[in-house]
This record gives sequence, C-alpha cells and structure tokens, in this order.
Amino acid sequence: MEVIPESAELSLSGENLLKLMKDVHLKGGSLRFTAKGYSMTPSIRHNDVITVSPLPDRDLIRGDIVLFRKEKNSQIVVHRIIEKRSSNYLMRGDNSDESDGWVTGNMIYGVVTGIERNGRTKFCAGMVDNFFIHAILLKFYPFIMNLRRKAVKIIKLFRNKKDLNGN
Amino acid sequence: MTEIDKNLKYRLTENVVSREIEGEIIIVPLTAGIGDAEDDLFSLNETGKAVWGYLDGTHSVQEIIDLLEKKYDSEASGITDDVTGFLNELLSRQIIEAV
Repeated sequence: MEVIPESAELSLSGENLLKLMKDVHLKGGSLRFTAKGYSMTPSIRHNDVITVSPLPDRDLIRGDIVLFRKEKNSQIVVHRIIEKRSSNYLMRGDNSDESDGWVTGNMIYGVVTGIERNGRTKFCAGMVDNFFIHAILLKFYPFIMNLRRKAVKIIKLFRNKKDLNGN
Repeated sequence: MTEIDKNLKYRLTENVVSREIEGEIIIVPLTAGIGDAEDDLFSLNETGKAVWGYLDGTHSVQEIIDLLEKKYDSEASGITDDVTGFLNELLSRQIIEAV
C-alpha cells in the first residue's frame, strides 16, 4: 500500500487563516492555531497557541480579545477592545502605545477563548467576562499581535501522479 | 485496517472543514468543536485531490478507481491499493463516512 505520511510545510497567511476560521465558525466550531508576533505580550506571547471562537451571543465588551480586520490597512490581527461606543470598537495591542483606531462590529470575526503556553492553558472562555482582570491587564500591558504566516503539516495520503504513471 | 467495500459511496462527515487555499486542499477535522490547525491540519498532494473530488457521496469506490484508471492510464491493482489505502486513512481520522 502506498499511503505515505509525510511532513511538509505550507504557509497560511492571515487572510487564508481567516477564511478557514470562518468555515469552522459556520459549523459552530472554534479554531486553534499558533499566534505569531509580540504585540500582545505578555497576554499572548509569540508562539502561544490560541483558540478563536465564533462571536458570543452577548455584547462584546472592553477587555475582550478579538480577531478583526484593521480599517486602515485591512490587516487581520488579534487585539484587545479598549473602548466601545455603540457598535464601534477601539482596539489596541497590549504591547503597543498606540491604538489601532476604531473598527465597526462587522469587522470583528471571532473572540479569543483560549491561550496555551508551553502546553498549559493560561486563559479560557470564562475569563472573557472578567472585566476586573482585563482592566489590570490594560493598565499595565498594552498590546497587538499579527497573524502573519502559519506553517501547517502536509500529509501525503496518496502517491503522486508521477508514481501512478509508473515513471 | 478496515476492509473497504468497493460498492460503498463515501462523503465528508459533518465534522470536517475543507477549503482550497493557494492550490492546496486544507482539511480541518473538528474534534469536540475545535478545529485544530495546530496539531491536526492536513493537506493532500495532486492525486489525493483527484480522489477527494469524488468523495461527494455519489461515486462508489469502484467508480472512483475506474475513473482514476482512465485518467492516469495506470494498472488497476496499483490504483486500487492507493484508493483503498487513502480511504482507510480518511476513515481512521473520521474525515469521511459511508453513505
């Protein structure tokens, strides 16, 4: 049998990760992946594994960490809501002095419900509602994080065309 | 390994998300509501993609083998082993189910 597990890597941009995440959210699931960047340090560190869930039934509040598209450059990022006015949200990375500006609610695609570091869970969905903890984090740790490129495993489950042709 | 019945037709399970991204078919099984792009993300090579396209619940395994045989002008025995092996892999990961 020619089933060949083989590890390889494929770069997955933030844009493509968003497409995949939307598909997963449509099925009611959450997407777990490695976050790259330092803008959310120390809440989310480079190479932490985060889980992004569909938007909850409740209103998003200050302190929530969300995945959204920036207004000014369309970049997909994960940052924290630091202020809310009606259906507009002001975003900022915990490790950034400047905000990202305001975004409308329809530019927010998911909320971070899990953060794992070195195999241990540091954050879970229940903490999203804990404004007191977020207020402390906001005071001492501004931040931002880019979802640049994600390496994924490729498993070859089948012989390639060349093999099939017997070449 | 389960013996694949060539008369059966297979389709993707409800707990699978697949999307073509930059020419690759990316497969994300949902386990307990989590699509694990960290440890459980898969892609297929060119021939795997050819089989994947027939996993829509309308083609029997034998029909897929016949179609690939014509497409690649290859020996039936090799194609059969590859297709059944591939389907076994997908079944073991609960990516497909018999219709």
